[in-house]
Amino acid sequence: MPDDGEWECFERDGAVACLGGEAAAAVVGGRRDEAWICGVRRTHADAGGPASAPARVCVDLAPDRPDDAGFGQCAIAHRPAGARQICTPSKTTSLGASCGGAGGATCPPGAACVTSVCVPARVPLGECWQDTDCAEGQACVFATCARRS
Amino acid sequence: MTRRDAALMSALAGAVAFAGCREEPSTITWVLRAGSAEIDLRRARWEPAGAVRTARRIGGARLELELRPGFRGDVRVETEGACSVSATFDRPDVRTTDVAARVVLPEWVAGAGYDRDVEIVATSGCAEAALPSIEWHVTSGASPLDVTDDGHRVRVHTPSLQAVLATAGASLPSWGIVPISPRTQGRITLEARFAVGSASATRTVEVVAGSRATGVPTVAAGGPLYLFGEGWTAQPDVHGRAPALSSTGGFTQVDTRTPGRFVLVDSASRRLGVRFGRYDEMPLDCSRAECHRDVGQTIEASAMTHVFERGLVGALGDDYRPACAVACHALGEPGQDDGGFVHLARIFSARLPAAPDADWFAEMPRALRRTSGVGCMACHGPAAIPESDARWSILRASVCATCHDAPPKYGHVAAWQSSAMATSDRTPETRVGECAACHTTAGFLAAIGARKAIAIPAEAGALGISCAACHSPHAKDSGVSLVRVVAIQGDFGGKPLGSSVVCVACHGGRAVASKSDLPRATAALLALAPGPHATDRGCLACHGAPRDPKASVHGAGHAFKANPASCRPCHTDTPKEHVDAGSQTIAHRANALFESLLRRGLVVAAGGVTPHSGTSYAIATTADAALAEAVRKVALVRDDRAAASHNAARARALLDEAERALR
Repeated sequence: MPDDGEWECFERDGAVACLGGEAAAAVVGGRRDEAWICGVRRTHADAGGPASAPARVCVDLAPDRPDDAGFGQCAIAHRPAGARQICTPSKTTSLGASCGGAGGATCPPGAACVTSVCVPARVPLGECWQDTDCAEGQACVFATCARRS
Repeated sequence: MTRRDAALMSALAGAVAFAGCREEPSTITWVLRAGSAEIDLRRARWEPAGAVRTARRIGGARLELELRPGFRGDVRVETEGACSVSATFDRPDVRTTDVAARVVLPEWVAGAGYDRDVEIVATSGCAEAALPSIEWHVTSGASPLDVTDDGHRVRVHTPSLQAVLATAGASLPSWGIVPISPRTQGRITLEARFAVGSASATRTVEVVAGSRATGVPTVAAGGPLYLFGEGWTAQPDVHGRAPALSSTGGFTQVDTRTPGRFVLVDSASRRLGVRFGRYDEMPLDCSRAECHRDVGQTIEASAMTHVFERGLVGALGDDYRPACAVACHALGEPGQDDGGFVHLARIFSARLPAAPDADWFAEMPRALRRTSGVGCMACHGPAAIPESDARWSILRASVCATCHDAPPKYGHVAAWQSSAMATSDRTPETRVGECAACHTTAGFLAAIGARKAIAIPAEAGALGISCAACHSPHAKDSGVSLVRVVAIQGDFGGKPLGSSVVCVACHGGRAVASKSDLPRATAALLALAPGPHATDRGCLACHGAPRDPKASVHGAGHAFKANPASCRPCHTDTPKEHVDAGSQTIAHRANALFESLLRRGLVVAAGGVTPHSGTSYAIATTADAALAEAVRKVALVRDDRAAASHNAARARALLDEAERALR
């Protein structure tokens, strides 16, 4: 998590995106994790709902994984109470995986093959958490709105 | 792509590749992790000594050995009190090994149950090693020890719940959850001494019969919960689950291991909604904008929120012992798998420092940080807050007692139980009407505007004027003692009342609302009027324990009895009441004057009875303003049974003035 606050996260294509950031009540906050790139979530004019502080979105391009989980896909499972990180090895190419070359592995959408490693095609902005945060015809890729491919 | 973007992309490629890809190691790294708290890897030795290029120690819990380039062969590591470990390396590798203790003993046996035998068995953590002989001692909590011949197996018998409750002498409800504090946990501390070769070691084992219970029906999953009475049944929830109930010594024991919300029903069809949950699974978004934002802001600075931090950074003294303090300065019951701090620390193999260590606090992982300090869930959790009809339970003294009832050091609740405050609402008539405003915690909080009026069921019994009346963990600027700041009216000599302001709300003369009313609860009107006793500490100067952060007993002042020691700076002996001419004490004079007022018809019986002064009286309507004022002065002194101690000079002057007016 980006800090000690309240976050809701998921991992896709090797990057973890978290939404929230409300301060945890009665918790002495620690240092922010420098590995996260954070921004403010885009809001829609018709969003409605109760007034609250703009939600933050943070993305970690190289998330920690439980010991021995291997390099693969992780899901942060949300149960009624609490979250558990569950990682399952996967052959799907994701950020940080080798690409190009003889194997010819293709990077996931929104990623580019740079020096044989999949990296985000753009520096993440932390502006979206899901596709509906973005304009029509755009998708949320690595917490950044991009034209739908 | 701009040049800047290209540079960033290249940097990202490096960062992502570094963290995401598993590259083949070029050296041998052997990571050793301490498998239990008593293993100190800082004392580890290895052979061959020349095999290791660098050794990186992270506290006593982790040791990272980087072997010399090109080394191939066996490496063996020895640590005092731990099993030796060895490994063969034939190529570059990163390997992790857990180091087990030579003698494996539980540090805690939590929630062992009351009135039953508990067996503790020492085993060897090493496959090949034999156990040393062990000597056992009970260091606190009397229990006969039954030790087997080889010394590796010991049996203790925990006390019964009835016995510990009777010993505590607590005023308890007769229905619902049995509140359990450290005083009533049935704790037995054992010491195991064993020798390994020439070295010897001592290990402490805590056997705890019950888990602490606030009495609020939101309970940490894992430990036993006890209910008063038998005949309880559990209704299945929507998933068909229901907690197992068993009868034990006149109580019902509830198995809380299944998280969720359940309804328990007693033989009279009374329902008790309970919730079981883990500390680490509760969201902490209580202070979000739509909910308790104001409370969230004030508790940010609360002494309770910061207590563990203050301890670790040394603000509570160099003798702060985090491993000891954590039972009350963090969430959870040590030894119980409840998602509390100690449980999570065990999962993370995080060993608490032996003394204050600011770096340790700064480096705490998120999960530990969120369960450190005395946060919302310490009182309101760990599961979701109870249904609205059970929220009154947060006002019970038993909520605070889970930490502040741990004699001999923490005597707050024990002292309070000996005071009249604990039984202020023992009779039903004190819980209703205007009496409730000063005789019940809920009524008091409603009267001062701190909380909405709430109904408390009759079966709750007497709650007294409990901790929550005078202390507010949520309040802003309430200081380390969290004493509630109350807006009061009245003249108290212009002196700042300090902590006494909360006392004065009830003891500062109430219900002088009409011309005919007589003053009641007048103690502070005399004590805090100009005079020798109107000090900066106000009421607490005499009715509280002396300020001493190093006192052996904390909270002793919560008996609120006047402390003779507080007289010493000015009085060589405990002062006796001055006897006026005619052998009249102030109390005698006040009573005699009042009798004469009754005879003259200036005071009349108003009907009804007040518990403070017997028959309820009022000023006669025939009394003119000057006589009415004289009557009030007499009543003010008469109502304060300690008038002579509170302010003899003022009391005498009031009676003199009244006598002159009545002549």
